[in-house]
Amino acid sequence: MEEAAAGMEEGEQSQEAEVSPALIAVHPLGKSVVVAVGSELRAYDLDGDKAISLSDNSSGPSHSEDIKAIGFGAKGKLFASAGNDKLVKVWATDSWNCMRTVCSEKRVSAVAISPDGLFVSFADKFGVVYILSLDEKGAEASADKKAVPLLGHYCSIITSLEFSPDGQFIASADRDFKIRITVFPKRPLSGAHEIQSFCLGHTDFVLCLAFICSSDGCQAFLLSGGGDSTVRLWDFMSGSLLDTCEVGLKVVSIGGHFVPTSLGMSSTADHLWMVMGASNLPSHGSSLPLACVKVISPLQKIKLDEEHSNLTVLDDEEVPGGQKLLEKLQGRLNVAEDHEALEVAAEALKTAMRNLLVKRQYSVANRELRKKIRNDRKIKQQHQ
Amino acid sequence: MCIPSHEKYGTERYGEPRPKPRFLVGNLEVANPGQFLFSLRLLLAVSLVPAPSPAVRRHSFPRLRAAPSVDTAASSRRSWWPQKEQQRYIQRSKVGPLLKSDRQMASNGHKSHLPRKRFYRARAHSNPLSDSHFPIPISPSDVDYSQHFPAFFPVDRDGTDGNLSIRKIHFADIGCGFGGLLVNLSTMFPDTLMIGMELRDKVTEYVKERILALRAANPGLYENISVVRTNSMKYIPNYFEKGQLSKMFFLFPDPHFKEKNHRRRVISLHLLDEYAYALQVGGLIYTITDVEELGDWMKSCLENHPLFEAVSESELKADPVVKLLTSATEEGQKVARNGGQTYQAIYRRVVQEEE
Ligand SMILES: C[S@@+](CC[C@H](N)C(=O)[O-])C[C@H]1O[C@@H](n2cnc3c(N)ncnc32)[C@H](O)[C@@H]1O
Repeated sequence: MEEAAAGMEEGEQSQEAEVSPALIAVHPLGKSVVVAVGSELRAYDLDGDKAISLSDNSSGPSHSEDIKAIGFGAKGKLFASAGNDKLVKVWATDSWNCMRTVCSEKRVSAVAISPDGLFVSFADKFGVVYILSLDEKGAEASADKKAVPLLGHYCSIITSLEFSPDGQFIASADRDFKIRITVFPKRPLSGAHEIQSFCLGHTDFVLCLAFICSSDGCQAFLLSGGGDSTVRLWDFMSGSLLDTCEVGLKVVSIGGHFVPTSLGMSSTADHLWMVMGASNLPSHGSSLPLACVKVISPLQKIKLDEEHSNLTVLDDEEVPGGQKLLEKLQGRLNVAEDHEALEVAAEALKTAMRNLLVKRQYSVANRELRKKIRNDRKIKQQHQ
Repeated sequence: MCIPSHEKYGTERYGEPRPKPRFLVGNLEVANPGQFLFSLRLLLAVSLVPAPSPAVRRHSFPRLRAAPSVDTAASSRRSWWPQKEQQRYIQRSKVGPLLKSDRQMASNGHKSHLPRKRFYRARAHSNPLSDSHFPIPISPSDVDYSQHFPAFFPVDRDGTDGNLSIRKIHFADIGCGFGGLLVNLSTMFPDTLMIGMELRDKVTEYVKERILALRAANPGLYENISVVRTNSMKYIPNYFEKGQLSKMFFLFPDPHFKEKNHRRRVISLHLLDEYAYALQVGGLIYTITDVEELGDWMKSCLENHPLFEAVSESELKADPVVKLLTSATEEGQKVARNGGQTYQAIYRRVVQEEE
């Protein structure tokens, strides 16, 4: 592993115990909710008020390791999931049938479906973003069709991928504080080479991206959140930073030990869905991975500048779908009462996140030592 | 929260003033509140990660532009090339002249104090993939170039940035090694600011001292060249704005023969995207190597990239810079001494053709 970045090196070593946060995604029209925890996808049909069972016609394997990225695309018609098992799976949400399984060479850290539903794009831990056509009409569309490289952040973990609402741009964020805005070309299978801008300003890793629109819908902006505890607003066409919000002090407490690991909402935005959960919890034994779902409503009441004073977290009975939904998405009821498990999860997730994304600080002496160890190892290899 | 106010958008940095974007969620004046509130996801996810303590952050990521600050120790730590140290370099007289060519340039009776290369031998290769331990500017505006090119940035007494932004770097020598190309280009284009980017710290130090010695021995000359220690494969966008450069040089880059190490090569289809971003339309990229396989590789990357186009033979003949490719750098001279063949590829940044 001589060439791996120091961070990655250690990340790989602790591979077996890697703890991944649970994820949640809500259908843009509020038709369904999906929770991913560990290698498991749990989906609930809000329209039909019933648990969804996923099916797989893609002749590919199913997820066997932590899912790291999920998301709806193409106005909710498609859903994608991807993760450490190097699989990217695309699901048709009318039947919840997996229509496509793609194998990546490396673990996948981010995934996005183009707004027109024609392409799925995913990124690996070495900074390469790939693209695959989902167009089934072409005669050559077969399961063995390979994803092709779209663009690259040189050797940096890509943490988030998002298409602009009009599908003209793709934004990619990385561990090296960088956000790249690339023109999404007409023929993306031959690569996306024209960089529109870089949004530079974060002073630590960038964690997540979201495009937003002004109310007339004709102007889009980009939001980003990062390890520097800021959310930033960008004019992504020029890459200029419009506003910075320090969130360190403004974090909302939901009460108890609940710290959401992921949020989701439909475009009508009446409910904010939250999940807290983690895979592979050390003291959690072999039982189900922990996932706890909570919902805030009604969102219309939130005044963001008033420090969320009037947030209401719904009681379990009031959650859309009620206990049936919670049983499906959490695996069991009353998870929120399991304070100990939630506390353990919060700690484990913090550590995992730090290990994965925060650049290590070494003293000069320590650095020299590491260099020496590496070189000795190399010399030893040469002599073998 | 960061609800943008009209005032902030009134005057845009680029072009026309824009209509007021409204995505207030308070009274739901939002096109897509879902997307806006998605920021809460960011916010909450962020809360999982404790921010590094301020001390650590400063250490790992110093702002390069020395802020007007009373903490002089801190500010000299921030800029790699503080004035005081500059003087110290110049005063140091033990280092003798290095290259014949430099000695000729530094004639006129002046005792030149050029650094000796052998004091700066470093590991042959540095690993461009590993985490870095040198300061990285957050963005191009974060670099204080008055430290690099004091003669081009007259000291502004009132401490305002004034017209700092007027002078921009136009040439970049990527992997500049011992700096021979910069030294030659300096007098050929005396009004153009140029910078070398070098990964190895000792080599960078050497180039710094070489430039300072040349400046000292030739007052008024060599003021337009400088060097930074950085990994060009990761941080080009941190140094250059879109379309800022008119020339980029990649002379005798490390070959990285093994297939699995090809991704360490400084020219690749993906990296060319970034070089195309930094180059203005019409700008040139110069590459040369004595390794045939690498020459083929660089040429085919450039050939296959939609934003680059080969420069015609006749133009190459007329371009005085082309002659420097084989003769100006230390590596080039070594190859020439050994009678080695070289393979060059020179391409122009173009606008992608509509299909
Ligand atoms: C073989 S030398 C050639 C130097 C010089 N251009 C010449 O022709 O003499 C290649 C140089 O590129 C530097 N280099 C390699 N990778 C680099 C990177 N990612 N960023 C900056 N410099 C790099 C090396 O440290 C080395 O000094």
